Order: sequence, then C-alpha cells, then structure tokens
Amino acid sequence: MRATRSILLLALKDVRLLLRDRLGAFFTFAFPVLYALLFGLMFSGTGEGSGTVGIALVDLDRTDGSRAFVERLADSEALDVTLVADSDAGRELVRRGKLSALLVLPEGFGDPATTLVRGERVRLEGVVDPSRKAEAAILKGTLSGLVFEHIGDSLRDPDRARAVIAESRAALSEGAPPAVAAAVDRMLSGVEGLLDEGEAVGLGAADGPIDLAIGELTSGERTVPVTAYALTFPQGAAWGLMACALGSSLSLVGERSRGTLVRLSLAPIARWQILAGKALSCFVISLVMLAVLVGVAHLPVFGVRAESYMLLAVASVCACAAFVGVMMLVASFGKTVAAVEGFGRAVLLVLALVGGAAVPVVFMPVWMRTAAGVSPFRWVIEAMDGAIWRGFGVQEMLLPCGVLLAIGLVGFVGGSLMFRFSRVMGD
Amino acid sequence: MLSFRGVTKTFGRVRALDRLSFRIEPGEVFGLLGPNGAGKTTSISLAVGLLRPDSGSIELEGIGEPHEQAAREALGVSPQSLAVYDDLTARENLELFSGLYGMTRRERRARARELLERVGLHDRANDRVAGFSGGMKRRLNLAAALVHRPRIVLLDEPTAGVDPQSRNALFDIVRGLRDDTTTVVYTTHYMEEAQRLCDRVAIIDHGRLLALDSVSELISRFGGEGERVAQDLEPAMTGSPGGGDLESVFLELTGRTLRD
Ligand SMILES: Nc1ncnc2c1ncn2[C@@H]1O[C@H](COP(=O)(O)OP(=O)(O)O)[C@@H](O)[C@H]1O
Ligand SMILES: [Mg+2]
Repeated sequence: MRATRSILLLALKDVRLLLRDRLGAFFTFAFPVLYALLFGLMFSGTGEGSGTVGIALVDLDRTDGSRAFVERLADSEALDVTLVADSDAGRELVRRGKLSALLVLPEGFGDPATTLVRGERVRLEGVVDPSRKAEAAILKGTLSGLVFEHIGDSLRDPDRARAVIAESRAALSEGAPPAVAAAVDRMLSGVEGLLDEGEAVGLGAADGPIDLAIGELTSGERTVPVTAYALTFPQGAAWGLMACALGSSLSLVGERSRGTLVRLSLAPIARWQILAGKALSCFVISLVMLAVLVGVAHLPVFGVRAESYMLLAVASVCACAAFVGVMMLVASFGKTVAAVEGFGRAVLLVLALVGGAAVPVVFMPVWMRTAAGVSPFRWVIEAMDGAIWRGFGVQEMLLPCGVLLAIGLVGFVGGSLMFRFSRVMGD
Repeated sequence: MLSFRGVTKTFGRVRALDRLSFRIEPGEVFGLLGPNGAGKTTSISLAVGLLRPDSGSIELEGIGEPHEQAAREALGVSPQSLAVYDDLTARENLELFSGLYGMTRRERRARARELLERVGLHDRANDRVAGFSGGMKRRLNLAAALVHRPRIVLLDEPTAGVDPQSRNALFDIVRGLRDDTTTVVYTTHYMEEAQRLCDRVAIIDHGRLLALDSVSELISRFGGEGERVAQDLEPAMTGSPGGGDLESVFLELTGRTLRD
C-alpha cells in the first residue's frame, strides 16, 4: 500500500517534471508525429506526382509484347516514365538524380504473360540510385504488381489467352513426352488461379508491404485503406519510444548525479520502488505518446485506421513495457549523464536502424532481416504494423508481443541489478 | 545516540577514514570539523548507511545499524550537494519527500507549510526551485531533511556558498532543532560556525580523529600555541582578532598545508 503510493508519487513527479520541460515535452510528443509525417510524405504515392517514382525506361526488345508492357508502365500512376533511347542516357539521368531508377527491358523480354507461363521469370534490368533504396523497393513492388496485372489482362482477353496457351503447348511439345501434355491443363489452371490471386500473392507474400507503400493496392482480407502513413506511424512510434526511454534513463542518471537519488534512497522505501517509480513514469509517458500518435494518425490528412484497436492497445502496452526494459538497461550503461546519453543514443540508433525504424525491414537484405530480430524496434514495428494494417490475428500477435514483454522483463530486472545507486553524497 | 567505533573506510588506495571513533550524545549539536578531504562526507555517508565500513562498526543507539530500515525514519540528511528538484516548487519538493515517509496528503500539506515557514520560504512556496538563490536552495535542502521529524539530523556543510542572511537563518534553524532535543551532526570547515553552534566538536584530518571536546576546552588546551599561528593571519579570517579561538586550534591541529 505504502509502497504503491510511493511509486505513484515518484512517477507523478517525473510526469510533472517532463511537462514543465517544454522542449523535452515537445520532443516526446511532437517528434514522433513529425517523423511519421515526414517519412509518410516521402513514401506517399498519393501526392500530386511528387510521390511517384521517376524512372527512365529503355525497350531493347521492341516486340509487340514489350511495347504493350511499356504502355502499361507509362499508364501507371505510381510511375513517372521517361522513355530513353539507350541505357547510357538513362544511367546519366539517374546519376544526376533526375530520376530514381533506370529500367531496361532486355532483348527477348517479349510478352511477360508468355514468359511466366513458360515457367521462366520475367527479367528486367535496372539501375537504381543508391540513395533511393526505399523508392527502389517501391518500384520493385509496383513492377511485380504491373507484371501480374499485365498477365491477368492478357489472359482475360480470350484471343491473347489462346495465343499464350498455344505458345506454351508448343513449347512443351517440343521437348516433352506426350504424357506430359496432360499436365498442361492442370498447370494452366494453376496459373489461372495464380492470376486471380495475382495482386495478393505477388505483392502481399513475396514482397511484403511494398504495395502498401504506394498506397494503391489492397489485399482481399483488408478492410481499411492503407496509406503510406500506416507504414510510417509505427516507425514514428518506435522513435517516440526511443525518445521516452532515453529521456527516462537520463532522468534517472541525472537524479543520481544531481543528488536527488540519494535523498530518495535515504527514505524508507526500497530501491526497487525507486526504480519502479521511474519505470512507471516511463511507461505512462510512452503510452500517452503512443495515444497522441494514434490520435494524430486518425486525422483526415493521415487517414490511418487500425484493423484492430484491441490488438493495437495490446501492442502499445507491450511496446511500452519493452522500452521500460530498454530504459533501465540504458540507465545502467554508465556513470554520468553524458556517458549514458552518448552511449545510449548510439546503441539505440543502431538498433532502431537495424530494426526497421527508418528503412522497413522488408527492404533489407536477408541477413539483416535476421539480425533485426535482436532489435526491440523490429518487434514494436511488427506488432504495430500487425494491428494497424497487416490484419494480424491474436495468434500472429503472440510472437511480437511475447518478445516485447520478454525484453521489458529481462531489461528491467537486468538493468536494475546493474544500476549503481549513489553511495556517497556528492561533493 | 550515534557511535563510531574504530571505523575505517578506503576508496581504492585512499584511506578516507582511519579507525575513527566518537560517540554523539542525544540532543547535542555535534560539530565534525576538518579541511577538504578530511573525511567528513564519508563519515556522514557511513552514518546514514549509504556506505558500509571496511572495519569497525557504527551504531544508532536503540535503533540499530545505519543501513537497517529502522534507521531511515530516525535519520534526516541534508547532503552537501543540493538534493532537491529544480523544476518542482519548494512546496512540491517537501510534499514529495514527506509522501515517501507515508504521510497522508493532508499531513504533507501541513508539514510543508510549517517547514517553509520555519526556513523562511513560505512566500516562495509555489515558485520553482530553479529560480532560487544559493541560500534559499540550502534552506530548502535543510527543510527536506526535516519532513519526517527525524531524531538525528545530519547536515553536511549546510552553509556552503550562502550569503550572511541565509547563514544566519540556517543557524537559527539549527538552534531550533537543539531546542526540540533533536541530535544534530554538523560538518563544516568554518570554525566560526562551529564555535557559535556546537556543543562539542571533533576535529578530523586524513580520516583520523585529532581532537574531541567542547569548544572552550579545545581552546584552552590548544589555544596557546594557536595564538602565534593566528597572529600571522588576517584578523578577518580567524573570526576574532588576537587568537584564542577555534580557528587557531584547527590550524594548530591540521597544519597549514593548502588542501585542494
Ligand atoms: N567515492 C569516492 N571514491 C574515491 N575517493 C573518494 C570517494 N569519496 C571520497 N573520497 C576520498 O576520500 C577522502 C575523504 O573525502 P570526503 O569524505 O568527501 O572529505 P570531506 O567531506 O571532508 O571534504 C578524500 O580524499 C576523497 O578524495
Ligand atoms: Mg564533504
């Protein structure tokens, strides 16, 4: 009872101190929103042309098939296509930063529909501005979407479909024994099934949320529209949590160096209660920050809606708990405020980047995606993404939320054990 | 009330306290005097249980050892480094600290008002500490040590960096504590303060006890030698011209090598 009250009093004190520190409060509550806004604008495909990816396009194949595909690319709202005569001209445009990527339809590109039915991969060559990796990923997603769309349309046109089937039969009969021909129907119906699901399969599973970054495509099960902000608000949340955790760590270490921690540890309360007070204030501030962020995300300009608010609440609580653990660990890093701030910021920054708080994990190379597992940021984003736009069920939520709670527990206990209370009264 | 028995404490290779022994009587104002680095703050830290002695023992009579929970209620500390929240008001500081001693909201209010009155900060009760002068912060730092009416109050250099008015107010507060039969441990390197306030004085240096007695006893015992020392100093520094005071005793015992 008395213990609980002491913890509450200490937490209340921290909240009060934060609110009095205008700059601190601004960074805590406004920065995550700014982050989400800024990156949302960058990824957004809904702005007037500004969100589209500018590409240079070279058609070296010059067949009817390739020309039809070029037309489709040019018609796409997600792409701003500039036709160029050869690769060098396109490369130059990319090098000068005028365009994000160069795309080459190589000789033998032909008709993507036929290519796919033959069981080969549709091959495109490209050059991407390395500073625009995110757009490159969007481009990749867009392209696979367009390829499927193209094939889908081709096969919906009876004449084209017949031609494709004929061609694939021909291809098969060349080398395959007649018995195999029986399998062709099955294969083709399989292809048709694939085409029906085209968008969902091609973009949802293979390329993760790339379709979402351009804010156009929705999967079959999704009930809420997905905008670029749906991606960037979870990232903003991750940065916000980092700021809250770091702020609380510094507040704890600052209390030690300014001497108030001595006064607290001389009161008839246990040390764990002092730390629990700090943990509680960190938790509450983080949760309020997330609530503000979700509230702002709901504004018409952002239009973010969550698939499940219940799961979003669960994800938020778990995320805050995880960062309480992070806070405690960071606070145990060093002796002085400057040491903890420098070291803590550096470590958290790396974890944030690795965990996809800037460039989403799906855009990373595979080894890095695996490495991201160590980052609490990755799990925060997965849990928030899951609740907001991935449409996670309870089952799928268990892993990220479980990991977050484990991070919170291990971090708090470990950090508390390592944290050194002041033993002399300054001088 | 509080006894040190052969207490030794080292930090790495520094021997901060060296077999220090003394006993503080209930209700007295006990001065712990020594130059910088003598071991005053270390003694206080040991007395309140923040540190444990390497050898020897410390006992709070009728209470137990300093690190035990029971000692928390009995001890009040005003650390040398100010231990108050700059961005809280004076009242909020005191209400927070008294809350940690289990007082109800009403009790906390009343206690904060009473203490602010006592340290002369009642008219600044709702101002943030950040805007306070050094002397005001010191007075608040002292008030914070008193929220739970401790039986023993330890003041570590309570007058460091304050103006004469604040210093005078602090003296009055200490005298008030003595009138309430509170035991006070007062560390300082200002001899004049010890002379004015303390019933008994321990002079320590390099963690060792050099002398322990009432101020008048110390002066009569060591003062003769000290007169010669005092004559070399500015009269203003020794407090009273012509020697025969605690400053001379202090310099006599601790030598005249510069410390920091
Ligand atoms: N935490 C510490 N680590 C290392 N040395 C210390 C520590 N605290 C005090 N000391 C050393 O112990 C001696 C006594 O210090 P202290 O008790 O603070 O002296 P005083 O308060 O009398 O000025 C000094 O030499 C000081 O440098
Ligand atoms: Mg000291």
